[in-house]
Amino acid sequence: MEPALAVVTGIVFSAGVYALLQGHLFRMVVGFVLISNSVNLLIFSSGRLSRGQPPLIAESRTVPSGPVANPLSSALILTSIVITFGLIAYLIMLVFRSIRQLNTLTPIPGAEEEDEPEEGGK
Amino acid sequence: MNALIYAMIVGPMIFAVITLFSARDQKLQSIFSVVGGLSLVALAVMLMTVVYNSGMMSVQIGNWKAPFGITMMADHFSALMVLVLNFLGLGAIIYSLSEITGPQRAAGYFPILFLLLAGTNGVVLAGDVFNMYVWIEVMVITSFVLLSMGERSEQIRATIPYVVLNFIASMFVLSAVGLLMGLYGTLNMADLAQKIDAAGSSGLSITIAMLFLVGIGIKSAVFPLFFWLPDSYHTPPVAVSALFAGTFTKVGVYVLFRLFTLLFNGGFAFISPIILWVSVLTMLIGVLGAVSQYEFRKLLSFHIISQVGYMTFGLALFTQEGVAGAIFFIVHNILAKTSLFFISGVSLRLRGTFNLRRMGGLFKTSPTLAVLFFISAFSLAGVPPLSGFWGKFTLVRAGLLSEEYIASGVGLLVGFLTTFSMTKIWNEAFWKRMPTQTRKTELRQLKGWGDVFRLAPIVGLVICILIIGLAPMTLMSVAERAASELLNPGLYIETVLGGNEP
Repeated sequence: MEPALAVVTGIVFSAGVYALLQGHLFRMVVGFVLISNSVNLLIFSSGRLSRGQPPLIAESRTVPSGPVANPLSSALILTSIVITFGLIAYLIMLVFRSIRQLNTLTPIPGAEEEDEPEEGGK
Repeated sequence: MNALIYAMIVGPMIFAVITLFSARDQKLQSIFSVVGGLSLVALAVMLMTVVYNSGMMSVQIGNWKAPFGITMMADHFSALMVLVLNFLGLGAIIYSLSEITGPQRAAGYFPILFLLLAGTNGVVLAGDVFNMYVWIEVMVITSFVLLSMGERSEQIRATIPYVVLNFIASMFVLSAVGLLMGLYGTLNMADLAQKIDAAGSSGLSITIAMLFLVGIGIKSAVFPLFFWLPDSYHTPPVAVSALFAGTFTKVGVYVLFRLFTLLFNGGFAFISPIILWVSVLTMLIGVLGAVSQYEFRKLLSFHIISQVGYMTFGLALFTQEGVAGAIFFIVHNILAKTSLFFISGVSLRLRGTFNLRRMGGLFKTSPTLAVLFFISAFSLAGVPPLSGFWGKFTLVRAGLLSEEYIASGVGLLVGFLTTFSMTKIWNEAFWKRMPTQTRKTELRQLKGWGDVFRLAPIVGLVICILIIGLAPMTLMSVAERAASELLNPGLYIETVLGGNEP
């Protein structure tokens, strides 16, 4: 099972990188989502795969009675999903703002005119 | 005194909430922000004193015993970084009072600033690899917001490559963390150190080390991963630029130090030459990039990169003198770099532009600013008796002692080229007469509270540079203690695993 999952992780990561390299803002968002999902898969499989063994301990006991799934990897994945969710939400707002301000979905970095920066303040 | 470690993380969060709720009243929010900055510096000073007097300390969050719970650890290096970074945070807060407009305040500038400080404190005090990653992410996300907060289109154009590259770096670090967990079963750094030492290096652990090196290297802006920095650091408001310049790359360097002295030492000694040559190229190419620049902040951004090369050079040497010199250099560089960025902001105020060719005559109109610039810039270049001289001296001496002649030679050459850059700024902005094409309406004088807020942080930083330059022994002794702790991880492991204090 693990080799198949490893191959899938690699394919999804590559697809994400390909999407990131397109230079188009919406495809960049898709690339982010793919890459973060593949890294979550990586953490998932590093906690060792098992079938039908929930990470629970029976009520009367203090140690698990048989093999259980690794709860630590689930906790790590939860945290990373939340973090990348926040990142992607921010990124989508950034894309909207740049559509409004730059009027383009394919911005070229460094191609700005040398304008005088405005100052704020008293 | 364990509460101090908690306070460094919870404190900024509390102030983030306070400034969020006082956002309607600008004056009240300003007062709370400054109070917050001052109290964080006070707490950091207390932490440093306690660590200096009683040695390193660790806390286990929630009283879960190590290595099962989350550990926070303050050794000399962490406490020193906390002190300098919060001092820098105070400077940025005071400077922001003069420049941040109403809409930016309403968008939550000050709360986000405090959350950024919480993130940096968290990274530096973390004793658990995943926790460190989470705090890095807090720093990164708050930096995204600060970078794009503003109305200018070049900010959006610059944020996008910054976001993408930092995201990729985070994904590399997260992959490395996931693989570490799979390979060793634990993420507590002290426990990992023991397990990695026992297991030696293998194909997978080398991969993990390289993933960390590349991921954190992107964040620290080493060669060839630094191209996001000059493209983005010159766009946000000056206070934000200065804060970024002092915090991000240096926190990245901190993580590199922590990982490669604690976890990947011993059997991974072949990594040192890699880091050495990366440092040499970083130093050289960073400063060469600055040679052609005439935009004040872009020039300084290239210098950030070149100075990071010095710091990783100290790490690559892996000797007591090298690491101590690098730690001293980190502290000096944070102070000098940030003050230079603040000075660029004041010169924007006086001349209306960041373009060096269009500036001039600042020495005549504001000799105070010229003196402040002189001290900061030539400290950066390494001129005695300022702080940069001691940092560079220790590093080059350590390099010569380790018989790395080429690298030390490059270090000296880069110092010379840095002096060239600083002289260029001096000539263009301060010494020469103002070119006649510059519109006279752009000129202003320094007066009023706004400019007090701009100058006060610069004065504070310059005073620190002078103190460190004229009396380097205090900082050097702390740096040496920190270096000996870093290079002998046994004490760290024992404090975390042997202690189990609540």
